[in-house]
Amino acid sequence: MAGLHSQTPEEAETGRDPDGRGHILQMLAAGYAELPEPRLVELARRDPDAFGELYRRTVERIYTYIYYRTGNVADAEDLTARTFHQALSNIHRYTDQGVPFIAWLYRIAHNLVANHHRSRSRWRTTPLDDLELTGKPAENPERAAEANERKQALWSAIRRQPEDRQRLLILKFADRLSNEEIGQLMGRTESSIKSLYFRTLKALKADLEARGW
Amino acid sequence: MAGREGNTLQPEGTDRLRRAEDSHILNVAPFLNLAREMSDLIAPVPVRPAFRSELEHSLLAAARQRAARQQLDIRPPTVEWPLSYRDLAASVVQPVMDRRWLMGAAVGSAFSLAGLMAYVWRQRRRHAA
Repeated sequence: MAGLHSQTPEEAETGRDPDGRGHILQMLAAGYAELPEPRLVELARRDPDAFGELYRRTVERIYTYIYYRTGNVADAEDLTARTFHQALSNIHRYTDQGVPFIAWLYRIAHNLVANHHRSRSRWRTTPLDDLELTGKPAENPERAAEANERKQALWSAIRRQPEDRQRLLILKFADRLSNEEIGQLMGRTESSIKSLYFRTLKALKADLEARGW
Repeated sequence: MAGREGNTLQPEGTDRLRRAEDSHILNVAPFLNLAREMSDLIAPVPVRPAFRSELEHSLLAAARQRAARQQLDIRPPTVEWPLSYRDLAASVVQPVMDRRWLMGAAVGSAFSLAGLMAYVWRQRRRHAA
C-alpha cells in the first residue's frame, strides 16, 4: 500500500504538505513502519496512512482471534472488517493506558463476537466442517481419519468451555502470548491467568475422559 | 552446619526428590500432552490476501473521508452561559460596579433627592400660607 501514502508522519502531524509534492515523499512515508506504536496511534487519530499501518500490524491477530471464536471464514471476515471500522470511528476516544493498542482492538472484537452470538440467540456450535483443522498430515488415511476425529473431539471440548477460557486458549496458542500479556489483554494478573489456564486444562481433561477420548 | 546435614541426608533426600519428580511427571504428563495437542490445533490463521487488501482500501477511503470532513467542520462559536446564579449576578453587577456608572448613579440620585426635597418644602410653604 506504499502507493497510497501521500504524507510523511511529520507533515501529517502539522496537517500540511508545504510543497504539494506528496508523491515525491512516498518513500519517506515508509517511516510509518518504523514508528513506535504509541506515536503511530497518536498520528492515526488524524492521518489515514498511520491508521493503515496500525491495520497492517494487527489484522492477522484480530482475524485469528475472531476466526476461532466464530469458527468460519465468512463470519470472521465480516467481524474483522467491523472491528477495524469501529476502531477507526472511535480512535479519537482511545486513551493510552499503558497496554498495547491491540488490547483495545481485542476488546472491540470481543464485544462484536459476543453480540454476534447473542443475535443468534444462543452460542452457536461451530460447524466442524468449517474449521480447518491444522497439524501435520498423517501417513495413511486411517491414521489421518483417527487424528482428525481426535482433533474434532478436542475442538468440541474447547467450545464447551466458558467464554473466558476459550479466549485464554486462543490468545495463548494462536497468538502465542505470554501469561503476562494475556493478563494485560484480559484485565487480570499473571498469576490469575496461570491459575485459569490450569483449571482449563483440568476441565478439558475431565470432559474428554468422560467422553472416552 | 546445614551443609553437613545436607551431605549426610543426601542419598535419602535424592531418592525422595526422584520419587517426587516421578510422581510429578506422571501427574503433569497428561496436561503437557493436552497442551501440545491444543498447540497443534489452535494455530495462527492466515487472512485471505484479497480480503486483507480490500479491507485496507475501504479503511483508508473511510479514514480519508473522515479527515476531509474534519477539515471542513466549521463549528459556530460557543456561547458560555453563567454556570450559577452567583456567576449570573456577577455578570450583571460587574458593569454597574464600574466607577463611571457609580458616579453617574450618585449624581442622578442626588438630583432626584434634591428635587423631591424642593417639592416637599414648596408644598409645606403653600399649606402654611
